[in-house]
Amino acid sequence: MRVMNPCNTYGLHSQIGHTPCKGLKASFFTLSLLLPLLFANQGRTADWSGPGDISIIYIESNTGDSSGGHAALRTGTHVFHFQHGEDGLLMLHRERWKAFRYYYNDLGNRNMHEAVLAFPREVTQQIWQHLTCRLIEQDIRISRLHDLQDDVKLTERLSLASQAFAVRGYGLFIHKPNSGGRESAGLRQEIAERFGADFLRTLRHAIATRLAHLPYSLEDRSSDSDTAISRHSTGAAPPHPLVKGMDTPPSPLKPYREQLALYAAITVLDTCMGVDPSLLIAAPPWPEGSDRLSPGEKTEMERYRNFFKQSIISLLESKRPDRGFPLLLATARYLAATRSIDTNRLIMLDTHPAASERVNAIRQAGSQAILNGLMAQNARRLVQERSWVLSDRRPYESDWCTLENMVSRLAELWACTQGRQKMRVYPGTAVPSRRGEIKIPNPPKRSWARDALLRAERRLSAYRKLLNREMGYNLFCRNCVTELFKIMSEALHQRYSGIKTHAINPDEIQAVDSMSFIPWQMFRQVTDRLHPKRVILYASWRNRHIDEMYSHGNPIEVYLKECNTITSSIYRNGRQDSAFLMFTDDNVFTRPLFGAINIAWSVPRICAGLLYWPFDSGYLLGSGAEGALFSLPELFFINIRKGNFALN
Amino acid sequence: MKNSMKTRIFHTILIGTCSVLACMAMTSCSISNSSKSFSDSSSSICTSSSGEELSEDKKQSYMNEVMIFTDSMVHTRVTSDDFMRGIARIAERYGVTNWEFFKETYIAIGKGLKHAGVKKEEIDTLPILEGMTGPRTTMKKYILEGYESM
Repeated sequence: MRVMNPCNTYGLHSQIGHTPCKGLKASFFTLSLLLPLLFANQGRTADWSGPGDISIIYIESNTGDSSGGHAALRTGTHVFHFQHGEDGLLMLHRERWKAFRYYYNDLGNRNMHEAVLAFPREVTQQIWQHLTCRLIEQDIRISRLHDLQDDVKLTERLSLASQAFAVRGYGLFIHKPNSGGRESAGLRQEIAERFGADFLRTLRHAIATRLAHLPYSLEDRSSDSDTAISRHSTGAAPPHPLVKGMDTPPSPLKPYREQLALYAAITVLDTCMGVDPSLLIAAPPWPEGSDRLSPGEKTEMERYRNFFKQSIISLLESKRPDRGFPLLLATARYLAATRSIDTNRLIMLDTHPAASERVNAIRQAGSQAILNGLMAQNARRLVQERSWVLSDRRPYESDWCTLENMVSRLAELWACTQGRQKMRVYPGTAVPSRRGEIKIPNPPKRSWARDALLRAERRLSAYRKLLNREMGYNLFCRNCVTELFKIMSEALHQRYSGIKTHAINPDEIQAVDSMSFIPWQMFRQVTDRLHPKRVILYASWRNRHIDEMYSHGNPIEVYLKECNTITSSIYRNGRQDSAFLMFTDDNVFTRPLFGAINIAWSVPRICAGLLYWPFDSGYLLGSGAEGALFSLPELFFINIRKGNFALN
Repeated sequence: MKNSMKTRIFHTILIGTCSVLACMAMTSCSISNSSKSFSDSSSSICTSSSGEELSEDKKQSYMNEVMIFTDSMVHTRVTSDDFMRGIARIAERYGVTNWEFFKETYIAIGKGLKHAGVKKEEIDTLPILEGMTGPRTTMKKYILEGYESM
């Protein structure tokens, strides 16, 4: 195993921490939803520097997400943490530390505590590997779930008269022969020169013939594998976590869908279909002229076009079962690059999923000026990024994907600075993958499809139950704390069973695991039992700024001004916060009194909410009720709410 | 009198605990899609690394995942098709769809094979690589490069 360089940045963070882009800080929260996420590399697709020290992070409570507090594990520049997803599953996520801290510490306004553990390097490596394994396993499982869902959709469509299916990537094209003009015809010609004049047509017919028989044989093959959970693993040893993930019941119709996607891709190439013009996004002309390609960029664009052409050829030669979608995407990117070169403008595919959320840009930003400021900031970032991607270096598909995401998002922001109201937003990085319906060639009998649909639904239901059993969230037994320690415990016991030193004692980790499910309680156990090298506090956004104000102004004046949401100069009330008047996180003694005031503050809102219910979909009522609920613990000296700085 | 005091303290603690648990239960360990967008957006502005840095880091991270995946799959009966689908899933998270066109994939596979204890002479006959290496000698070259670099 290659040993990674440690990237130990601990100790470099001051108590105040970084305060990025102060001028626009208040608006950042607002920008949350609408912000163009220019950087494609957030979350699990984030950067890497290998494991440094291991730290346990405890994030204090607040309203909004993870209101009981949150726990995470930091290894170098990455943070691993479990979150309760919308589908009821507890999912492991990997984020960059900087982004994670910015989200919880600054925008979420929560104090964060970090206990740096004195584990030897190989232990850190072991835990990191275990966590990465878990991520891959989780991906396999979720992908299986999506496959089984697709089986249901496919059999549903096959049992209908239309017998068409939405293929991923096929929606990037106009479904008319020769709609791609000379660019598509040129590509077809190059393929013909390399593989022969009838290559595409012959391949298309061969796939159509295969599709006629495939579903029956696939179903037969799958009949005995539905319950064969351990069909893959060999020997008597317990299966590796990844093998366990792979061993879940497979999707029997996946090869059929893959062949259908390949059929769609070959049809696009053979019939010279063009990219849907509404999905070709030009870089905004800001700063002036930046929509144009410089001579150097044009040369690089030609290199990328050639790269995509080679990619298409390699995929046509490939034996990959799932090459249909990559082939569709490479074709669309080739045509987009060609359009860029022909028009001398930076034109890329739209990365927004079809079901992107739409938000009102100005309302979310707070003002047109803030929106313009964001546009300027992100446009500068795009200039930097394109100078890196379109430079004299080996073309990389992931770099291209990053640029695609940036251009798509910036174009949305640009449109809103020019008067459009609604802006599309989506989380993370997206690969352009619009689905489009293709008529299924030689479809199976509809009577078979109806039976297959029942079987597909049964498989999906069984798999959902399995996932809920193994990954379902439970407030007490399976939450962000318990799973983190379970993984640490497993990782250490696997390799260090029986070894006990001052630095590492697997039993102590297990003890923390078994005694804690509440984040603050866990952190106390960690500091008591695991002998951390040091414990660091990262004060919340509000606390940092109040401390600064205390050091420069009259403390009484500052306290009186900042203790409530009306006169506070730091806080801006947003839709994410429920109704409250007094901040109770910085003073324990006044907490019950302030809690009572907060409850009293919520009551009129609740009453007004009852009247307004038909007009605001219950927003005011919900806000008042939630405000009262989160004020209750304050009566008992317990603080949860700290005020969010994210308006969404 | 003493008992009534005890009962009152017990009730106070009970109500306090219940209210805290009620608050926690509402959104414990959760995150909304909007919040995810929000997190991603905000870090895009202020906490992002340079393109060059990110690109190299992503490549390393991708290679590590492929290496771990190969290591864990090589001694199983996973088919070549399933192995390739697994690599494709990892690759797409890094914005790569044509992973066969990406030499780092093969280098990482080579490292994973070495880590799993596969002998050099066994590489040619490994079932999981059947659909992948074939006649394309450059791929084998990169697999061996990764294998030997461990």
